[in-house]
Amino acid sequence: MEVIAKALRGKRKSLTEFESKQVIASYGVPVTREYLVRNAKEAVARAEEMGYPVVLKGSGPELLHKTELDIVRLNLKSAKEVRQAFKEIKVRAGKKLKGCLIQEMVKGQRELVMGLVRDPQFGPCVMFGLGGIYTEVLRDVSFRVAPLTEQDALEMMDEIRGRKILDAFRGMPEADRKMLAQALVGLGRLGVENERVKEVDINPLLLTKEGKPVAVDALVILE
Amino acid sequence: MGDKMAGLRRMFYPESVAVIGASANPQKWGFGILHNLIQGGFAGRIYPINLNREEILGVRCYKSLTEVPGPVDLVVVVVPPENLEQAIADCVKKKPAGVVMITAGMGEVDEAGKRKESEIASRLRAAGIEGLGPNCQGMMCVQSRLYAQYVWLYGKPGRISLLAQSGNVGSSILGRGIWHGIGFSKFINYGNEAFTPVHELLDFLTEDPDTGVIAIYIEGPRDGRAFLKSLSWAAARKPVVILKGGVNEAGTRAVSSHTGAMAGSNQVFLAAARQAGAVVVSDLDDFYYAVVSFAGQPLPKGNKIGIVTWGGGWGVLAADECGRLGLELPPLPEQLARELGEMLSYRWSRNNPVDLATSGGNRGLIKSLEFVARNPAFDGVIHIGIGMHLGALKMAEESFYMKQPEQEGLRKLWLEGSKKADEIIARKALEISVELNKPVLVASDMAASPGPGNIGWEVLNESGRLIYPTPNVAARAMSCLVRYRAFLDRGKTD
Repeated sequence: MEVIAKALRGKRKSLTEFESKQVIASYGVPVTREYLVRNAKEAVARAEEMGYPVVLKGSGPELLHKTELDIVRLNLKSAKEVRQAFKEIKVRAGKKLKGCLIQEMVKGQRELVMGLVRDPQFGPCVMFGLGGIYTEVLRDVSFRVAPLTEQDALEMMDEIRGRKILDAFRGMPEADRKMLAQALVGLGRLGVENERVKEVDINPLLLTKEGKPVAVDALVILE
Repeated sequence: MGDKMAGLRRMFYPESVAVIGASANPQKWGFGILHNLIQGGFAGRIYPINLNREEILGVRCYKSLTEVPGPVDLVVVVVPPENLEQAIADCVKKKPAGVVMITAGMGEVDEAGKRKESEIASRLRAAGIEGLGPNCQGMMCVQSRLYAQYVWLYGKPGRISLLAQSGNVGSSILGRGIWHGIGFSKFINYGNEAFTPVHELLDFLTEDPDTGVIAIYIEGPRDGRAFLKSLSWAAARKPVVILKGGVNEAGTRAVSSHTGAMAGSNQVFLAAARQAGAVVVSDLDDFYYAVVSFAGQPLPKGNKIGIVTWGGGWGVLAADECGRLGLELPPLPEQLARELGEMLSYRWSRNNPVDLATSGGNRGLIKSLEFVARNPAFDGVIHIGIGMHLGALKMAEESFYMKQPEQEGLRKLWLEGSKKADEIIARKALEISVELNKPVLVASDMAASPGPGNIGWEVLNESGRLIYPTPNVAARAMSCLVRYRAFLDRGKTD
């Protein structure tokens, strides 16, 4: 893929969130609607186009851990808030800032994680599990060796302890397992077809009010 | 591939076996291996190799392997690491089909050992010789009466083959099975896996007509992808049960000091094994009962289980375990409930589990088993109630009341009756299961091993079955059968 090749030519070890999402989207993982913007004016224009609320994140090849750097502003409800957020991010990120990512604010209470790792024994493996802050605490994840069949993907969803999170409950609809399975199968294919992709981390992957999965953040690591 | 399999076949069904390092000292492994080979009744030629002796255990010795007249199919090497050089040089010259290297203190100890074993491996490979070990306790093939191993275990012929990285884990399954009268085919202990890789040994078992069930104990394969490929090939043809050792940090430390193998990232390994169709278990009990169940029971068509129990608690435990494992316990179809109600006392549960609440006697136990098994709502049955008669038997033998001369008639009745009761239940469980091709697992902690008066056990054992020790163990074994069936059925409904 050109995005990956370009990053490798630049001797980069990872892709930005924007690039990462382009890559995973091309393999069938649904991602947030988002645009790369250079200034506050462009940001506001895109926000008006998408409708509020929106999210603004600092972007640049060296800005890996955005939350820790405090360059993420959520739930911005007006042009004024977008302009203010842009200003703050610029100050925080300094010279490393190459632009900002403006994206739709996805509402969903259920956070999942998907990922790709390269196991020294088995090669590319796909991971699925509970996302957000629970990933590290509960370690409720399952694996499959790529390439995956749809059946593999459905089975790995059933394998996590917290699998009931995918069912309908508390007024939330059942998760779209078919879309989730397609995303997992796609991730496996990404790993098989791109040897220089070392890891992919999609966390969180939210379930919308309609039960559809959307990758809210993504990181592709290269080697 | 063809040559390789032919080589392994010759190794396990040899016409001649040599033991380099055969010893007359009963304290030595070189004695034990030769002794067990003779004791096992190997029908081919046996050649002990020993520099200083004319004969050991009545068998003529040779000073070196190259002195042996005619071909040698299998060579067991039981010499210390410092004497390996000559042994390997002779093997390369003599070109047996396979070598079992018992010798320990190699790659599992240090880097020098690793280098040494890989150097030997390339020489054997170049000569087209297969190999197990080093650092293993040997191999067995019941059908060829080949016991080239140190453990004192002689199986009766059966369809279970063990492929074990660790000799003692393999031995514990083999040992328990032999005690239980279960039949085996092969026990392959591959130790450090320096020679023939585990995936090729697995391919051999997949192609082996004497093997019907494959049991693997593994800590880490040398080549994960190749192992996975062989595992898929195997599981599509025969049930494969895997027990993986070294699942957490403590276990992994024990692994590296034990066999020198790299335990791959565990979660990925287990996922990969399941993906390939293996039934993965996590302790020796489940390993044993799963393997024996695959060898002795038909596969269920689905996951709907009926439970028949003499008493409530057993049924509750079985139902709990089924629930945990995702097995379904369908409610009783109306017609069946009516039939059971007509036969059983008013106390019965009127549901699945069918709890007789200690009513209905032996007839109740047998008839409810038959009714439930015959009903198409159920793919398999767990029956708990055999073995209680062992208690009645003991009572008839020891009761002060029955010992009175005027109670002789009653005593006789109890003695005869209790012996008969378990026999009838066991026979029914066996017959109905064979007739309907449905698994019927009988559980009783009182009767879960062979012993005097345990006629139920004897009846089931004749057909390679056994009595499961607890409702939980029976439910877990059932879930293994169900999981394998689900794997075979994958894609059929898509």
